[in-house]
Amino acid sequence: MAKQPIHVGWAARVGAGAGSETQPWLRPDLYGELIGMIERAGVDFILVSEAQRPTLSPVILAGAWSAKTRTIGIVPEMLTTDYPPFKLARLIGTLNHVTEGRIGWAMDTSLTQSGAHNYGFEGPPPAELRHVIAAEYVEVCNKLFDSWAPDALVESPEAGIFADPPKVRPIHHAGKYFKVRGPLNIMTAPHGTPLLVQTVRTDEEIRFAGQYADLAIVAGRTVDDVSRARKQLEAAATAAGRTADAVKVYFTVSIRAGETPEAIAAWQRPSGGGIDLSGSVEAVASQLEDTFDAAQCDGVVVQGSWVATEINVICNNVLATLRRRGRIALPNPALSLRRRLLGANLAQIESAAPQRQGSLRA
Amino acid sequence: MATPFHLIWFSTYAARNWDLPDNQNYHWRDPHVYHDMAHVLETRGKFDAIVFADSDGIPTTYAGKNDYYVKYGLENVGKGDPLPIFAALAASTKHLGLVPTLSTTFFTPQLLAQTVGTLDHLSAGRSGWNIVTSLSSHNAQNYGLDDLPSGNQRYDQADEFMETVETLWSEATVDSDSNNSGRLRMPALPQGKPVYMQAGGSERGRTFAARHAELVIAHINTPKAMKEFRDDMRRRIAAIGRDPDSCKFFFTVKPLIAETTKEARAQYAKQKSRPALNVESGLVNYASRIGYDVSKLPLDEPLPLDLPIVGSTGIFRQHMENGRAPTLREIGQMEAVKESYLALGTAEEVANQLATDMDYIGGDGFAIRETMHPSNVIPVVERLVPALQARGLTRSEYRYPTFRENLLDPEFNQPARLADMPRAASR
Repeated sequence: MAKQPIHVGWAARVGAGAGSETQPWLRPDLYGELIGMIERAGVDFILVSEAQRPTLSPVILAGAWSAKTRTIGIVPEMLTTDYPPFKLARLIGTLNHVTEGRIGWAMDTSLTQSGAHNYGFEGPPPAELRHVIAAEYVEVCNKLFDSWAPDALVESPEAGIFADPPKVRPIHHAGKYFKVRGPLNIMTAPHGTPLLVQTVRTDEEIRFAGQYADLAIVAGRTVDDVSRARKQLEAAATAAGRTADAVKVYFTVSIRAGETPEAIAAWQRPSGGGIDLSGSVEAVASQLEDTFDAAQCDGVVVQGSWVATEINVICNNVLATLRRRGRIALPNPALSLRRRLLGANLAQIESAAPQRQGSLRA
Repeated sequence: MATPFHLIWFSTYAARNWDLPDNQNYHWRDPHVYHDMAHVLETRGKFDAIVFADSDGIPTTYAGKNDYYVKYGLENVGKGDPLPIFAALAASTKHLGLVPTLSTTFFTPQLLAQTVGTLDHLSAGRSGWNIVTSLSSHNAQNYGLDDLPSGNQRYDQADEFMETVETLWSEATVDSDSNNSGRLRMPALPQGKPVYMQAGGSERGRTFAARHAELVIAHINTPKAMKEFRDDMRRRIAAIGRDPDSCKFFFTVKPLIAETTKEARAQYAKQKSRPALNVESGLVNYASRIGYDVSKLPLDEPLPLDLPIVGSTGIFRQHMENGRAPTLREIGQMEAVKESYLALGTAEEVANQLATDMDYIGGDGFAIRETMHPSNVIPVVERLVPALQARGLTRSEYRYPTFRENLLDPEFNQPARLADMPRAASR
């Protein structure tokens, strides 16, 4: 039986605290080259987050990076407490047009002190409410993403009709924490809705991802940790009324590859945890394959640094080796990020057609 | 001597003109169109900036529902947030100022400071900010509010907002000392702060602009009124101790350029005969702009002079100025085909008109108000701009790396200074 292809994400942290003196994320000439290298290695998406908040805006970086790339998915991390849901849905909805379907949203539901203040809480936010508020928030966003039917646009100059009014509906959301009339004023992109991503650490986050995420990222230290999280996510998805594999599961890896112990020791420790892989290029590639096969997940997320030599080794040596071994495929640019990563699941979500589960994995 | 002037492109990331006759191979959502058109506006047009208007709710003014706005693609229907496309343009352009419209009512100062600060960094000092306070309740209803505070109250809030964002920008730091919590963790902005733009024409709006704006766009239909507006604003700026030259005034214009005057007129007539430009679509647009549901009024009777409107009184009064209240049908017809100040003809004719007008107005620039459709952009950069440059009226080279330096440069129409060349070339 052919082995399952390995999908690869790349976690990029920016701003003060991201461990780079040169701050390449500020300079189009520098980040353009680095991200180009990552894209050419066949990485499916790059996740942009703030190393220390508030630093550079991941939304703005996502727009800028889209101009320097063609196929890689771009997934800005945005806090639900920073943006009113209408603003977030419109920014992500617009980015989906601007990136031609390559956008995802990394949902960060942290309820920060300042964020709590936006909801009228005095003092430290009540932790138990965090996911209640976030759940309503994501539901509002999903309603807004769906407020334009996929076939709402008419664009007939002869008839003088732009769009079909019954297919563009207000959402009239009036919940406990949000009141949003809608509809979104930007239509759904031809490429469909954005990919919803969540990094999970706690049981609460797993429950949340099981209900709302398309893709969850787990940061276990061992294969056992990762497998356990995967099973929990499957159970959470089932409990939320979705299929067990509705949430794609990715786990983080920290790579240090070199041909001598000195070369390996010279790597900057990427922060953020995950499974450590170190050794020669061939050895790291094999470790990655073995770990992936043992964990039975859908992909890995590389903890990226901004050191050009490290990016070069990961992309042009480790990932190139996996490509040669037939484990990593270059992304199909004709597919949107969500369609590419959800594959058969999406077909299942979008139509009542009989399950064709696994057909894309053969 | 003729008065030299600046050029900016004033548009939206939106479905405006989705029904233009020659739309083959063009779709307004396609990001490549914006990259390509920004590229020629910069390399050939030597424009100061691109400004995108924005607002994010679909009105329900006409007949109490969204449907008529959706049907014709009017107002904010099919409009993307300007930030993502400007972020992309920051990476694909080198000299153009990039001016998104952001509301002080629906952004927190922290989020705005972070967002615009990032744009200024990624563009190496080319960010602007069109400051709006958000005009209508259909915007508010997407943000948990039933209605907006009054105009004056919103401007008072905006003054306070400006203070907070300026503090955030002036205190931006990469020092991760724990005492710095709440401060923006980024280096100081290349321009210190973005170029402030304003377009409000109300009394309170003018006071706000006199205090904060470095770039003002005005939608005015006659050179006489343009001059009056500019003179008034410069007096207000001087009155509070600011240098009047520290703010540049731009007047919206729609150029239509063809090989012959006759052809330009024919193109204009063709544009105006689009089926979507009818009495109904005109009234739908008019209703939301004056903030009154005119769908209930009889079509063939004069519009009552005492309508309790909540929107723009200027737009309401425009039709009453000829001493006779027109019927609703007449208003619909006029509104459907309404345009910015028109400059139509051959490139030489349009250049003449703009030169004569600007000489009379006294400064400082024109804002071409059109979509970034190639049929609008290409004639301007290929025909009009060379005609203006040949007369020494508009910029032939960028002399500075940042938007503000180019905008406020008194010698902007002169050749680049040699000392600046290596600096510009290294970027």
